[in-house]
Amino acid sequence: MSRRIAKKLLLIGWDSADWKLINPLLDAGKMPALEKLINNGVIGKLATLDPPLSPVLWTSVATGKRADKHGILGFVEPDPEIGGIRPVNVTSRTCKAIWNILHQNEMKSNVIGWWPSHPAEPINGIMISNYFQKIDHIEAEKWFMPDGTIHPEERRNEFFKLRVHLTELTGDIIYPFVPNLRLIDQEKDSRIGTIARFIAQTASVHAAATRAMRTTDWDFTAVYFDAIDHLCHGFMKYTPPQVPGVSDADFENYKHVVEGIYLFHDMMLERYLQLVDDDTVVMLISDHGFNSEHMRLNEIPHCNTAPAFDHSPFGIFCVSGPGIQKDERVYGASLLDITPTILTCFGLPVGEDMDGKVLLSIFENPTTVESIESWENIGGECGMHDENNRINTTESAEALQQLIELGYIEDPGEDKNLSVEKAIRENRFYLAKIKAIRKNLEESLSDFQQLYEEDNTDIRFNLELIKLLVHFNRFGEARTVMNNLQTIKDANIVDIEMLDGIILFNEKEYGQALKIFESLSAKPIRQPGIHLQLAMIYMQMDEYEKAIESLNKELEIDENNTLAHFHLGLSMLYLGYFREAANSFLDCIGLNYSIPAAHYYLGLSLSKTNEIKDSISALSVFLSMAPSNLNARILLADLLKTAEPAMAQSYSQQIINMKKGEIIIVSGLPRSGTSMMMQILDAAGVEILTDKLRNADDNNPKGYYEFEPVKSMARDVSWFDQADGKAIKVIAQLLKYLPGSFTYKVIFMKRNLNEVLTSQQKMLGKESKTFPMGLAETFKKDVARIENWFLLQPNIDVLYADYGELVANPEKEMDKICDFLQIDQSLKPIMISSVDSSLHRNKS
Amino acid sequence: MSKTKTEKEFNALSGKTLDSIIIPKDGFLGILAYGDEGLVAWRKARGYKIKSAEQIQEEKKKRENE
Repeated sequence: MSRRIAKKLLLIGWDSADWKLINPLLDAGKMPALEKLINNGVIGKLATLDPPLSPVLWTSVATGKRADKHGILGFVEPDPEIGGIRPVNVTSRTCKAIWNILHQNEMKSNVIGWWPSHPAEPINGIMISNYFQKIDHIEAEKWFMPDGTIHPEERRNEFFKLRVHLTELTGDIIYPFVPNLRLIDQEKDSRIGTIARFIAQTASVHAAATRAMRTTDWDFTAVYFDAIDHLCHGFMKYTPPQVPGVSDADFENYKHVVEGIYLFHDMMLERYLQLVDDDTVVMLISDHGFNSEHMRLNEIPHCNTAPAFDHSPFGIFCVSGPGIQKDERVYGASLLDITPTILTCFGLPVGEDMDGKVLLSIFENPTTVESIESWENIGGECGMHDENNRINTTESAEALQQLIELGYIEDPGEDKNLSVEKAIRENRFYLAKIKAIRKNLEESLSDFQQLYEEDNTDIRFNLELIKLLVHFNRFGEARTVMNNLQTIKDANIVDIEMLDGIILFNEKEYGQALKIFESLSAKPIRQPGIHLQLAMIYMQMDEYEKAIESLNKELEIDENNTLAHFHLGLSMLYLGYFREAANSFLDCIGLNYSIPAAHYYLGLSLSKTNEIKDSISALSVFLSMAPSNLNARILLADLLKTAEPAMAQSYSQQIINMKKGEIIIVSGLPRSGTSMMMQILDAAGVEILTDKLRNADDNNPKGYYEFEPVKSMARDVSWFDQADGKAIKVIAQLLKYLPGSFTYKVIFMKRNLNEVLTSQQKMLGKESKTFPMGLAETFKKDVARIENWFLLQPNIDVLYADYGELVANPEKEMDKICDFLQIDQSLKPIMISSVDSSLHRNKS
Repeated sequence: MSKTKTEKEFNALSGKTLDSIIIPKDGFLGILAYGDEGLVAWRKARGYKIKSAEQIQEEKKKRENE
């Protein structure tokens, strides 16, 4: 067993808490408890998961697994007892939560209000289910508590009395949230009741958590609060700055609600900090953020789980306590990392079947992570329910009503069968999404096709299907679905023009896509995604400066856009700004650790700035995520050859085993002498891949040595295996499509640009007196860009061959070629004899 | 509401001496944020009575039978 870092650990969940809203409050000194926690610990952003639904996410927090492994797929599930649906039940969880693992290791836990946790599990400690605080009756005296809410049962009455009903709250409690309380006619405005309900529910959970902490010896306490999320959904629109559509009266009356609930949580946090001792690690997290300011949506669609559209992809993470770094930041953390990290704090091994990682950088001292295949394989009592434990359906119906009122699910109506059908379909939707996340794209597509066939009026099914059809280059079908989407009520929330532009982009119709996105970007709206798409088009057109400009605009709108950071890094890299590129990739990884390419390009950028140690580290992380990648191994072998030759040798051996083969590429601008180089190689006995479809002519009397499929490399490189061990001609502009599974020896022909253009003009039958200056400038830039691109391709070795030199001084040039391709020097005369100096006809 | 006033109120409400306890913030919300002890003290001050789980369950059953 590893060393136990924490004697105790308190995990506090604030659903929807977002640094963007917290930071100004911290700056104003309004959240002193959180400030204390931050100053003594490590903070960071916590990446959320898809689907972004709280019961699914909080179960991922508690298990370290995605929904397909933990079984909680949404807000509701079919009720097997009386039919219809019910709120999702903890008995649907198919794996152990952290408290079950701790139970098996003889540790005591308190779990309060976790979503879902009903019926309370029989753990070693106290569990108060998420039904505890739910107010389902307007009269306090008729507010019943469902069976199974409290474990152990003998403490039922004690905790029952700690529930706070909304009618119990006095004006003094509401004033900090609504200073104009006395001016509001509550007969006409029910919003005060909503606020009171969530304050009361929060107070109930807090009272139960503090009671459990004070009255038990515990190793682990987890407490979950949902009020920030609920009040943000209801009141974010009234939060400054005032937005169109919100009346002055509503703005004045409710502008303090969101701030108020954050301050209340800070006050509760202060109490928790008083209740823990110096041996306790305190971890505060949220499952996602919440869109605020200009990111607020004007409207959300009418569909199940619609409120999730208000969520932003990064929650908060803050941890403090013994063995934890002080005043530091953690990057790339995800909800999936919480359970593996807690296990490590307790000196327990991490399950290899968990999807998350241990956040090692939070620890003061180097920490070893031990693992076991799966905690599910460890038998014995673990404090989970047995198969037969089911909840009372009447009670679940009341909880269901609250989900309907909050807008998370549609009212199922009287038709039980229909509601079950919808619930099952909803769960299939999320499973299909997770399949896509796990790169099981064919199956995901098939699932979405089926869902679309069953209900083509669900905007989400349409959008997901379009995304996958585009991925599989099935653009016609994607357009058919897009046309259907336009006919759906509420589809106006989808920007069809933008969707059309995205399809065009994927069809590689960059000109048309560019027109759409340039037009969209010129509109005075700050819609996320437009500048990113525009930048991606510029990048395809090798216009990296323009791409950078667009990406910076995107990041002004949404600083948390990981793709924008990633593409900014790529653009910087291609322009040779390696330090800036590394910074952008770090920003990207800081937000989302699980983007393998970002680690690779970070390693590549750092190798160019000679930060070798960090480069090796980034590439190693990348290889742990993408073990079959060839380029990273080539780069690592090169970086390690001086410092660690044995390891470099090991990588070299892996490269030999892994690569599909080696191909000789002859490249350059059209008319730069590539056909002549092919003749030379042909003469030397190198096997050439050509279909000889293009016959010799006056412009190339000895033939073109071309291979027709090369022209469509941008779309299809599946034929590349045929080129293994051979030489093939690829014009410079298509080099970027070379598949990464081979290594390449590229002979790049360089020729005076005037000569190249004159020859091209002549070949096209154009008047050679009118020299195309613009084209000359473009070609010059192309060559410079390609030379820079070569520097970033570890699997490509390049030899620059000068056409003029080759004709004038072939002996010297042949030496270089023989050396580069390891051709026997004895073949040099025959290679030289293949060069016809009379071909040098357009000498400038 | 000042912190001192809040502390005095808490002393009066809970019947405890709060020399060692720091009330987190202003006002009644602060008392609620103090957790179970704050809640109990706040109720005591207002004379707010809570029925037991059994009482409410019995009343519910009675209503259902009616």
